[in-house]
Amino acid sequence: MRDVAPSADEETDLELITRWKAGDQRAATLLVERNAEAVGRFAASLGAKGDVQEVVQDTFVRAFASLDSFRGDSSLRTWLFTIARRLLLDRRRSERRRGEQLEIQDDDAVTEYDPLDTVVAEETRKRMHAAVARLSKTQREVFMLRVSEGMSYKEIADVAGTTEGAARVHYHHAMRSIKEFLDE
Amino acid sequence: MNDCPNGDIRDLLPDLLHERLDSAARRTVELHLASCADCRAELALLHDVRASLRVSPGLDLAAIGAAIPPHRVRATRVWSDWRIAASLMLLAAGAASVAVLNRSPAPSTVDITAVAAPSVPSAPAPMRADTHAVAGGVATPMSSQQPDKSVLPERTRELASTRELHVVDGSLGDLSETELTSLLKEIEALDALPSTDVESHAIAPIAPTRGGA
Repeated sequence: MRDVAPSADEETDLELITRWKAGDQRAATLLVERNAEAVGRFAASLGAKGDVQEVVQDTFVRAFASLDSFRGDSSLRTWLFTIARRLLLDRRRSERRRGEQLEIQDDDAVTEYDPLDTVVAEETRKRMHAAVARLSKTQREVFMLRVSEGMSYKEIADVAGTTEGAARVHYHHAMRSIKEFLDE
Repeated sequence: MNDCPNGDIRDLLPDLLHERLDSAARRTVELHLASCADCRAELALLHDVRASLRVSPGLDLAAIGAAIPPHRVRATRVWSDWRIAASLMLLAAGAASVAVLNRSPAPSTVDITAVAAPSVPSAPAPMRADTHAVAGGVATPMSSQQPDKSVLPERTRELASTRELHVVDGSLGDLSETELTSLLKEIEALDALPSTDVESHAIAPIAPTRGGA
């Protein structure tokens, strides 16, 4: 049901990568401007707190260092999310070894940055945050990727290291949980 | 808020929200939405959730862009390419060798006419009394088929004409016990390399061995 051909956005990402490989450093800046916010939101949804900037920057540095191995089988954004997720998992392991706090507080991801969205009422926003905060970490990750970033189940499976079927189940459980919370 | 029983349509609502549906799928979903209050409510919920969650993380994009180093082609990559090519060539040569070896006769095949000729010493050697003596050669009386002498080298033709032993394209398992015994004797005689000191090579008769070869 989805368009089979890659979107113009994906094609342009590949073109920018080619330009960067040819020595055009401005192409890298454009790719950062296009994808960094989404990577930052994703990192925040996974529990990154004050180090979102560091995580996102590290993600891009690592991604560009290994862009020769990026073949465009998935979108650049999916690839960036995968790298960001691994980085966060590594950080959590390091924090665990150092005995630091690492369990993500449920409301961390969605309350770290106050949106300046004036369209959505403050009360509605708080309720939505609270509903998402009730989800398990996996449900929240899948739900964020599906609803906030518009990823397909296949893309979510690639990022989260799971299957399309499992991603679909997590999404519907998350949706059911949010509806129940809002109905209370 | 209830769930619409049409799971396929519900699966497509986030794609509709992000405008990732082709025209046919979009039309299908919109037709369904026109008659399904549950799906309309779920789409509105998705819209609110998305608007609430799509907050800016407040990144310094310029700093991130500045941290990305220029693209560099690694010099070691060239060497690794050469190593890969060299490895592939070695593998190909190995495979070719194996193929050639596999096409050669099986090791169990005994072709006396092929092996006897180069083994025959040029100088006369002590002969065993119980063999049909051939100049410099070894022979054991055995009844077998004769080779096509016209295509054999002269020396081999001579051997083949005087010796009866000739096993071609057969395996040792095809020989009878008597033939095997005779063959073993012949092999023993082959070990007697020509020597300049004839007197030191007094060869004692060898008792036939059975199954010990």
